Amino acid sequence: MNEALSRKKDEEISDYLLEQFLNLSRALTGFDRVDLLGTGMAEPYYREITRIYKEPVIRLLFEAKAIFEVYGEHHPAFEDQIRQRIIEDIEFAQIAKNIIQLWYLGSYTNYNDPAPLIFKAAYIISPEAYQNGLLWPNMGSHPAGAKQPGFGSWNLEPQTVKQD
Amino acid sequence: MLTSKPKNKIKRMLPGDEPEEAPKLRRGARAAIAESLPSALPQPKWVRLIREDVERLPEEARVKNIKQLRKLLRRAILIEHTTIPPYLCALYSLQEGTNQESAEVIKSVLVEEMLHWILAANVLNAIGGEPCVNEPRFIPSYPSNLLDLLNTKTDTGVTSLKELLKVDALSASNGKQSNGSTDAIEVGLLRFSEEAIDTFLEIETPVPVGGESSGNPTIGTFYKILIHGLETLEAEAHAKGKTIFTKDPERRKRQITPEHYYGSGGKAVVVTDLHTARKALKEIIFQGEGFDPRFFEKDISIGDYDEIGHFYRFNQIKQGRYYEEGDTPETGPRGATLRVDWDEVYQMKPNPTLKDYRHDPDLRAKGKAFNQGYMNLLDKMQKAFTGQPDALQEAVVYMFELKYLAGELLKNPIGAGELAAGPIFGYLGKTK
Repeated sequence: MNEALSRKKDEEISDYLLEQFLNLSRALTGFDRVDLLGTGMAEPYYREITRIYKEPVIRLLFEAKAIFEVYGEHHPAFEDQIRQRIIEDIEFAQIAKNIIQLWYLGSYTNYNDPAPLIFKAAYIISPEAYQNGLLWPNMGSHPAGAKQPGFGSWNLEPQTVKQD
Repeated sequence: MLTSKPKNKIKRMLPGDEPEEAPKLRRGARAAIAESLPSALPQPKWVRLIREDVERLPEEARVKNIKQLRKLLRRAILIEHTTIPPYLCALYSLQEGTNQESAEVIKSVLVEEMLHWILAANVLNAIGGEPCVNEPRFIPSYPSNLLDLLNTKTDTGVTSLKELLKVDALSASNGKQSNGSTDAIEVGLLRFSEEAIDTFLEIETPVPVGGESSGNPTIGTFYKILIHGLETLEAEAHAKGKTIFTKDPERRKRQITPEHYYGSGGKAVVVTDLHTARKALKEIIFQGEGFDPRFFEKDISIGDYDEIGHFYRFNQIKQGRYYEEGDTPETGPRGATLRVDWDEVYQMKPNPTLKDYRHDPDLRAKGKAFNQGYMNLLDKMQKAFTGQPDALQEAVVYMFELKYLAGELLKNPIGAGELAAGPIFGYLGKTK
């Protein structure tokens, strides 16, 4: 009984943190929640990033939450706050960079590696992560070798479904 | 028969020309003549069986003229169209990497329904009809009642197909009430589930052994009436040295050819005469809803065929087994296990509407984007059916786009609930 209760509590906490992760991701990527969830990658990315960085991720999420609560996303200072307190922060910079990189490319780079950037240890976390990179819809394309757009589509003008 | 007008005389002497005036005969007499004359081609066994079946139905169930036949074919296009979104929803809702065998089964049926859609349009174009797929009244809405779709009331001027069959059923069972007859077979957009598969089985219900007499009309019955009409009208026209098939070269360019559609569920059949029309319609009823064991020369064993009817394919999912050699409709599938994980499915809300997404503007926008893609697809299909068959290739591009959009919708929960969003397949006005 107690075990079930604590499991339920754990689930609630992780749901809550995942929600904060989605909010932060929205601010960092510029894509909306529906797009992010639509990739099906929110949970795997959150798990990967906490596996690598552990507690600092939780601190980062609460920092982001504070910015959301004090400023709200439509406040003119919102983006500056995200930049100053997260992207340019010594502790959070790396994590934020990797969150953006995960969403766009599905890849993780170890920025602590002393090698020059292109030789730093890096990997794509899963085949799904590669296929669901936001890079592809952003450039109106599809990941090479996956999500094929249909025979002869290269012969047609780019088709974008308009969203209002 | 010659008239005294010299103008007509000259005209009729041109090769391939048709007499202008039809001999004025009473309907009964005309039919009698048509029956007595040999038709353009010898009738294959399945055509003979279909004709016999329809001739057992009341007179009202038969197609009287070309206008009615065109209307029926337009309805056939709508019926084929209607089956596609439900199958797509079931397929899309399977979580990636799970239920692969079921996915293969659904996909195999799906591509054939798409082929049927195109074949029905080819036949309609061949007899001078106007296909229409992108106007609201020719776009399915969900949930819809399959029996309403099959109800040929507006088409042949009869009360309803169901009523007619009831009469047939009563006479066949000597006044005993037929069982298994319902007022509605609801076809909706459902996630992959036992309920969805049950609906698919109802859609694809084969013609019961012993004819139409077990209650509900099936799509097979609908096609039988259509085929009977086509055969009769062409035989009548043939008797007068005419044909119901268009000779207009512009019209003939409307045909979707194997060059435009191939590889998925079979080849497109170019329809120019009775022979090719039979070929196209045979493809539809043999693969799909009209599957009738009597059409085959030998005793049927389902497992013997490379390609089994849609009903039997879906039944494999329901029973969790494949058919093997020696299996019959009565034995059911007795072959290898087909693994089904009913839980590895996105929990899509049944028959979602844009209204369900109103609380979330971004989700609503995504839902609308899907509908927009669907409209674009239908506009291209319409183009393809009315003179620009090349547009089919563009339609395929939209199909892929819809697949990815549906995937995104299905991964989004609706509000804080347990249910997920899903594709709506709703009308959204014309594009451009």
